[in-house]
Amino acid sequence: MWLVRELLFHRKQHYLNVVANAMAVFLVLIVSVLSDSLTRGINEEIGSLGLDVTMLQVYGEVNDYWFEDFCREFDIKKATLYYSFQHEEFSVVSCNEKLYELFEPELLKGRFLNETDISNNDNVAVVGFDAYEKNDRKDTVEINGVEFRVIGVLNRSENNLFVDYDSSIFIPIGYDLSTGVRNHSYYYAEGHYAEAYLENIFGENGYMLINQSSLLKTTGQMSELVRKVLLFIASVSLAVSMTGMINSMLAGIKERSYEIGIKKVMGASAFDVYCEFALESFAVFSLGLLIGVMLVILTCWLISSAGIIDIHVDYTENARLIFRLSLVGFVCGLYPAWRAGRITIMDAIRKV
Amino acid sequence: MIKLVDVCRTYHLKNQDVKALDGISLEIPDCSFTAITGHSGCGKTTLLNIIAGYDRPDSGLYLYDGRLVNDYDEQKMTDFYRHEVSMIFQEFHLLPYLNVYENIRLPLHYQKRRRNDKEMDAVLEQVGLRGYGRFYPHQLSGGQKQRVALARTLVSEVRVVLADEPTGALDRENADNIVKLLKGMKEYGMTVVLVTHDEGIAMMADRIITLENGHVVS
Repeated sequence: MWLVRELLFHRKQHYLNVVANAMAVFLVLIVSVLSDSLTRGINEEIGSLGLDVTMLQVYGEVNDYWFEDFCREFDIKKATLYYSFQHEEFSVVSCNEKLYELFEPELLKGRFLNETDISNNDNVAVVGFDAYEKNDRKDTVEINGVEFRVIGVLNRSENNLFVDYDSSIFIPIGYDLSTGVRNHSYYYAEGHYAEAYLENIFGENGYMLINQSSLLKTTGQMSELVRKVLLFIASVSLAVSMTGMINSMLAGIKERSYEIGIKKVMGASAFDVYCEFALESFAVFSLGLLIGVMLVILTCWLISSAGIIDIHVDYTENARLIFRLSLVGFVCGLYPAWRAGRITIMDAIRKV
Repeated sequence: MIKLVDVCRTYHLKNQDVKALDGISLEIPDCSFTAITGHSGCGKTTLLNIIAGYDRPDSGLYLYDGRLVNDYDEQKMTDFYRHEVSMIFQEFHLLPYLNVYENIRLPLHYQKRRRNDKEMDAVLEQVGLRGYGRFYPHQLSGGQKQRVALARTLVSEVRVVLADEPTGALDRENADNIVKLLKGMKEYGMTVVLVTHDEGIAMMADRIITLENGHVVS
């Protein structure tokens, strides 16, 4: 109990240490929580963008016969061709009925393209919600002078990674209405592929593969890197604060050498003094840690209430971080405590 | 019994060496009240520090109950301070954030012993401070603080009490009271060694050792 009294008696020496420690802890924890929340947010956003679909984009002109062999070779059940065109008003996509199977967009009314539409190359179209509105909800839509009958309208939806449903118009794959650049892509699910097979057909630089999981992996890696860099920077501030605390404690020990001398005269061993000072420095750090944690909680609550970002707290990870911070605080207090223990009675008496 | 044989102690300052003790030999018997006197700078405090074990002689022997204290390691010295020797200083040296009870209990804390407040009150009564247990040092006079230091020594039950100018900061009346209390410690089987430059105080001891320039002259 009197150790608490001793701490309170010397509180003026500890105020700044507590504040510095609290700020350093706050910085480390808030970086951890915010970067974690942002990473999760980004991953959820990407995850909501589409299914586990791989997009193969081919550069230059190529015929499509290889694709059937490719799907057969790798047992790919869901796959589709996909041509997108530049158009003044809409995003035009020519595809087959399998695009519906792959992406499963929600229909507001009507139906998607079917096998018959594709094989007959009928002048039919399925329009996205925004495109339908833009076209004044007409039953027909004109694209490059060709009139298409609207057979289905897609519901408003979240964009996925590859297709912007809302502003797209889907027409049968037989139509090549390109007036300029045509993007030639293939989509398939399952994710099996052999890059060597594709390299063989298109050459090493003749294609590009994008899929959601690789995108998630890339963004995950980037987020983790950013998180680590930010944590490193925050750790530097912690190191500065710890250095300040050690320095301040050493100065304090010099001033309190008479007190140490009295204790040793009364029979305190070097180890007793060491333990008392180690405990004191740990108490000071712990107070700063507690204040820092409370500030983090308050800040997260404020950010969450303001709707700036969705805060997600990984309690296990942050508990580990707090434990590590406690360990750092404890270890940093050991050197000043050791110096306190080494003060002799003669040193103390001479200073009085 | 305390025995010093040809003890020397020199302080090495920047420009010169100061020989504080030069071949001191003396014996202090158990349960005695000895005063060490002499003018300023004659080596009284140095001698006391060596007897207390706070300082080590450069040469010579310090024997305590026949054991050579010169050779004590850190742990043995700690035990020495806990159970054998205690010092009362001129400046009282009470811990300001502890009340009187707690200051008195300080040596017990390191000896791993406990005493309740009633037992503390009995000790405070002996030094004339009954009822002051919950006072803090800043609430006490100089004389009262020195009595608390005496009580602290009584409670520790050491065998040797060393006092370095304990009356230096006190008025005559308080000084006399403190010396009487120190003399009374003999009744508890303690050996008291008092350093003073005040001849009047020294006369109250059973025995006087006079130092001059690091030598015992009488």
